[in-house]
Amino acid sequence: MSREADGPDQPLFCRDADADPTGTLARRLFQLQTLNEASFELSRLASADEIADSFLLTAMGALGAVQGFVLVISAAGSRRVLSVRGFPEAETEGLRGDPDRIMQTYCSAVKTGQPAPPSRPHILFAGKGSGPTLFPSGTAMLVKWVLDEECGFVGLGAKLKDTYTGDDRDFLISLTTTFQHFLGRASFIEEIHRLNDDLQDGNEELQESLAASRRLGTELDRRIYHLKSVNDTVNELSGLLDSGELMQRFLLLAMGAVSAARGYLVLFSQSGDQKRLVCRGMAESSLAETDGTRLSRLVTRMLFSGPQGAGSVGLRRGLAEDGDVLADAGLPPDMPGVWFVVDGARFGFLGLGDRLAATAFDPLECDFLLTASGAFTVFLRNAGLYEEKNRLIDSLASQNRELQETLDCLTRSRQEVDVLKAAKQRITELVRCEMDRVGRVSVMDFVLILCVSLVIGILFNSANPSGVSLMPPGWGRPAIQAVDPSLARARLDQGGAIIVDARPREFFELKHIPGAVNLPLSLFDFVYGMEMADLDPAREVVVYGGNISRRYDDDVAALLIERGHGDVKLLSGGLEAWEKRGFPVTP
Amino acid sequence: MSAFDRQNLCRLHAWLALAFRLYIGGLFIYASIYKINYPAEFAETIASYQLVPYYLVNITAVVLPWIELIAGTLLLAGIRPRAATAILGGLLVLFTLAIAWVLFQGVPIGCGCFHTIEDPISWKTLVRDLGWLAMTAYIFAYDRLFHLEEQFMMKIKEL
Amino acid sequence: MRSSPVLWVVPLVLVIVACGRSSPISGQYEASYGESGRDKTIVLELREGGQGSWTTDGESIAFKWDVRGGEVLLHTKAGGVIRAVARGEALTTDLPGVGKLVFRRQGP
Repeated sequence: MSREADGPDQPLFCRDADADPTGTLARRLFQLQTLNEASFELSRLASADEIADSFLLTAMGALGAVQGFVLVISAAGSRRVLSVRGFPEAETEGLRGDPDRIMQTYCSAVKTGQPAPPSRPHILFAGKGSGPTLFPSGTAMLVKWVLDEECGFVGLGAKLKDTYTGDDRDFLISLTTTFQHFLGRASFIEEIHRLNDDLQDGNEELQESLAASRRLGTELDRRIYHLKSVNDTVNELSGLLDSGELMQRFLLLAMGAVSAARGYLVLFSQSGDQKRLVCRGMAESSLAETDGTRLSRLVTRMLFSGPQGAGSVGLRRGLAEDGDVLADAGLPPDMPGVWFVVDGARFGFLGLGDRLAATAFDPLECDFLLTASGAFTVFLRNAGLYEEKNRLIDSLASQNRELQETLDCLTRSRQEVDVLKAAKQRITELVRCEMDRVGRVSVMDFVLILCVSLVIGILFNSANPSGVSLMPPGWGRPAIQAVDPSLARARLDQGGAIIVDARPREFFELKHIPGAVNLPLSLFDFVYGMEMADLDPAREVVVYGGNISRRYDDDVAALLIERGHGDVKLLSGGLEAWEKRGFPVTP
Repeated sequence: MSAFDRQNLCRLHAWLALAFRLYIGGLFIYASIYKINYPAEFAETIASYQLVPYYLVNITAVVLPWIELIAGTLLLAGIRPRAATAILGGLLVLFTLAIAWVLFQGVPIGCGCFHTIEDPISWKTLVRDLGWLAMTAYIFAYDRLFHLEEQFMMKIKEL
Repeated sequence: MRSSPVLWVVPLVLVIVACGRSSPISGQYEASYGESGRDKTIVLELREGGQGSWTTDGESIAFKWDVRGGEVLLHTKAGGVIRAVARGEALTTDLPGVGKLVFRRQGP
């Protein structure tokens, strides 16, 4: 409330009516009551528009104006509060125009982005018709304030009667102040509401995201569990190299993963005839109908129709849950499962039944089954390859052994052949040598013949009654005395000695000592018996006739001695000596 | 000379050599029998040549006939024929030289080849011995048929 | 052919060895040898099989004999040969230093 407008002597409150001659106090009271009511009224209102309306009405009513408007604009032009009463539409055009223009015109101090210097409500002008063209032309009083970034105008038309006094102006300013206050409060409240709303929205969002994240968390847990179980399965299966064991374990794991009470795993060879079956919790007889060809048809159909197309080079497996499809393939219809193809040749089916939650597999379980089946097929193939490799190694080893034996045999044979060849070579050479020997003369032949002749001759001679003595007889007996030819001749001439010619007849007839008796060695016995048997044994006998080949004289002399003749002598030098002496010889 | 003639000549040589071989072999076998039976007489014959020292006369008289017999048999049968031929040829050489010596010395002895009582050695004996020597040489050169030895051997071809 | 030369030799040898072993010459012969008044009788016995004996003065000398040509040959152990010419029933020998001896067949 502006103090200058008051009179200097006027007390504010006066009980006495007479004290108030001009009705200032009443007016003042009225104004205060109006302010109070306005305050009360405005405090109840929340929105700026309502406040503006209410204030305008109050102000117009309090001041008795017929026309009025309220305009609050913000610097950014973002908010506008406008309330018009009484003014024709055409005149308020300016109010509804571009807020920036208004701002520029009247609130030039307010610049966007800079903190505006606040100004309290003040009368811009009073008086009719002298206002700027923006405002309605009937504006008699215009109040302007600036607060924060807002610029507000309150414009009143003319009063019903009279004009606006200074009191009215003060009052309007007070009202405007109150209005401004409550506007501000309203805007605060609005702000608060807005913030509250924002907060609530934000809260809701937060809650939602919290729930979502919780869901996500659960989901992740599940996924983790699922992946872990897949990992465990794969780890467990990877260590197995035996197909049977692999199948057993895989079945067990799959049953555990989807918590099935019954399960079976059947595997067919490519032609469909060889079948391997593993089952748990159920009898094998219930699967007696499983047939390779029917299952292969199912698998083929699935391959070509399912997401794992025929052209996929990856793992070929898929789910089969439809009971009819299973029954069609000869499999128990109440046990859905996974069909799979192992290394492009063998195929099989894993059926799981009696699950705790008897529904179709949820995505995670599907995922697990497919992944595990894929891993299983890979490991089965590996196991098969491993077994194959072992078989190949064994067969190679046995082949190797056979080869080694054959090689040894061949080596031995070759050695034998070499030996035989060498032997043949030797034999050929020997035979050729022998053949040559026929045409050759060797020293051995001579030696052999001579030795054989010698041996046979000596043996024959010793066995022969008319054999000869091989040892010269002269060597075994004492030497017979020899006599000089002259002496012998002398003796002969005396007639005391007998000369004996021991040589064979031919030689005797050829040449002999005259008077010699021919007593050949070869005919000794004969001739002696005839000629000399009755000779005096004591008579001297001189024997001659030996040559280099035969000691005739010596042998005959020895024979004579044997016969008893005591005096037998040899002619020294033989006939040659005799002849040399010149003694007579007769032919 | 054509190949045909040469072949014929070869065959002639072979057959003639065979004839000689049979003759010489039989000759020596026949000659050896008497000497084996009467070794003392043969010793006398050897002694009468006055070539062999007295201490070898008897052993020669004992062994020589057997050499003749064995070599003659081998020659006849065709076993080691060349060796037998060589031996008999050697003996013939010895005999021929002895006869030549005796002829030169003029000793009136029989050859002693077949019998103790034989005609005294004359140039005819020498010629005879030389003929036998020639036959033996021929045999040595050309004899190749009917060797008993070869019956015991496979030909190289069969190997 | 393989063994025929050998077979051919053996009988030849046997034949040669065996021939001349028996003949009509065999028998007993006697001869007188007298000199200076002493008559010595020499008995010559030619047995079958080529054996024979010359007995004189109680002394008997064994020999082998065979027939060759028209002569009977007496082969002495010492290596001498005595030739006896057979004429009818008589055998005439010529010993060195002794001269001729005529043996006449005695008995059958």
